[in-house]
Amino acid sequence: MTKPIVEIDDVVKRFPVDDSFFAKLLGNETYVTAVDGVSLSIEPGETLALVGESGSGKSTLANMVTGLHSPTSGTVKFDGEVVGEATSRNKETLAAIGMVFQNPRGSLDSRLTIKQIIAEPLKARGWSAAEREQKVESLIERVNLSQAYLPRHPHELSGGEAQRVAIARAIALNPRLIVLDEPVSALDVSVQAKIVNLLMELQDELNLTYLFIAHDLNVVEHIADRIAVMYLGQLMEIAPTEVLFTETSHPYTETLLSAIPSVDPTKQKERVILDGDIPSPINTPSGCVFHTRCPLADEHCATQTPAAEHIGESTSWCHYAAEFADDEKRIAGVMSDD
Amino acid sequence: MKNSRRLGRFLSNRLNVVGLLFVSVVVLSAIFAPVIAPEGPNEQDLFNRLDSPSAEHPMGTDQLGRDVLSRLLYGARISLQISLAVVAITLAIGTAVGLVAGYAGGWVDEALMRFVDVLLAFPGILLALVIAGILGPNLTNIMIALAVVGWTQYARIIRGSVLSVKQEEFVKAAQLMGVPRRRIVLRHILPNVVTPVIVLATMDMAYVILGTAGLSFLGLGAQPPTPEWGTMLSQGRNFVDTAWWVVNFPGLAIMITVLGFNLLGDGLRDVLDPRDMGDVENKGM
Repeated sequence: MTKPIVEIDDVVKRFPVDDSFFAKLLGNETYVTAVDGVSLSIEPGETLALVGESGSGKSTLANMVTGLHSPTSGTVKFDGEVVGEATSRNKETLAAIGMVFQNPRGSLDSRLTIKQIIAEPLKARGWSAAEREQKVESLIERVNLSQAYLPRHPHELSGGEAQRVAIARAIALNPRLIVLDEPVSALDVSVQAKIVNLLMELQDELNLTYLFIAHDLNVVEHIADRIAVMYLGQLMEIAPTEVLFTETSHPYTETLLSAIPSVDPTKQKERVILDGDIPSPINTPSGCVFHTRCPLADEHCATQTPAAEHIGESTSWCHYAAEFADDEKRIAGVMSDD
Repeated sequence: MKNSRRLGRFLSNRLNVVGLLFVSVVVLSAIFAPVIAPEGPNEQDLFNRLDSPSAEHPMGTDQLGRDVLSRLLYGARISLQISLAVVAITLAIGTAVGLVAGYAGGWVDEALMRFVDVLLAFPGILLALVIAGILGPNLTNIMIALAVVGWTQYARIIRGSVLSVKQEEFVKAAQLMGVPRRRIVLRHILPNVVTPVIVLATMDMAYVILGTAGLSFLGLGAQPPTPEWGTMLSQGRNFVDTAWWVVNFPGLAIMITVLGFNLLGDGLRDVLDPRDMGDVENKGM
């Protein structure tokens, strides 16, 4: 087995809500626990999707990989070496990890031209003007835009075009890992597919590893090799994509799957709709964090934190993972018999 | 960006045009003072003291027989030079402090901002008065006094804008690409925080002119025979019941200049409104 490119080990990230002097004095500091003890690894060349609702901690986890945040406890390793905040990383590590943000316009400085934007990482690495010129021209064509875009400003581009520019910038320094933070959720559905296809092409061509963040499963179905589902800062399930879609072993994943709109109007889907909202990350529920909304939860779930259960190729953090997976298989079997 | 559209909108408001006109008159007077002034600013004619306005002296003469109009025109030079210098200095210091405090954060931010708070706790003109009093009465010291008082508001505004721009994704993207801190601050943050400050600087021109005139009136600034408006006002007030022109014309000059810069600043604020810039950029999202 190859060595993982990213290893995340028992990472916790807390953000202070009230850490003022008086709160400290009275022992009243409050924290939001955005990521709560997550461990996972990313293999070279794969696409790992991180999926979860808003507030599930997926972006925070990704930010610890890129270095926008540093973990409160636990370690993030890139290539076997512990990496901290971006400011403390060496140039090689910074160049080896690219990032694409959700809002393409927000991530491009509106006062620079497209050419300056794509050249920026090259400049930071000390490329000469002539080298930059050449590289920028090949990069813009690599993301299927013409060189006519180079003198323009970001506000003259459509959302999809701007995201292509952001991708061109992300691949400029030949990174090995690209963190994609909801790269298509701000785009039209028709454009989403084109961007996802472009990303898959680039992955094959440049031998890239992706950490792909999304809040719904249908976007990642085509691009992801494995999917990690997060809820309230914790992992619920990690499984290869096809396994997760056909025989999930976690009730939360089941609800996410049932939320994917069907393209076949004759097929009636049973939707699992959860009650209430995601609980506050300031006071996370005891036991299994999902028990307050889980249709299967019992007293055991409210008190005992589930450990990782390995079922086939998937790992699930549910007390009843085995039963649930069995159930799923049974349902899948019945359906294929029909 | 849409500069022509902005110019059109600026000119469509009559008050903006008035402001621009007033400021232009003052600036042109200052530049061409030697050409248009009928006499030198300190040319005395003791036989024609306190002459009322006439064809020869359109604004009359003062207690030493000097032509008031000529002195006003030369006075425009002093007022503009001082206000430009003070605004430039305060802008530079305030921007630098604001950028450092906002971007560095932590204890650096805390220390710089508490220092700003201390300065802001004093009424501006009072502090300027004290500093000018300690340093001694002349124009250079007036500039120092007004600069010490003035930079704090720029530092505050810049810091606030930096804190919000720092959170923008393009800044985070630059950090992740290993762009040096200096370049992030100067290239990405600075251009995105200067707009509100340009407006403030225009308004500040008026404040500094008023401050200079005020301190000079109190005898802490320009000393006679310098043709400074505030000094002229202070010298002329002894004759206000017999020779109104000696004190009223300098007063009018101060008023027109201050009003002009204020109107211009208001106009710029409306045209450079960041919300409007957002509209332009978000079009077609």
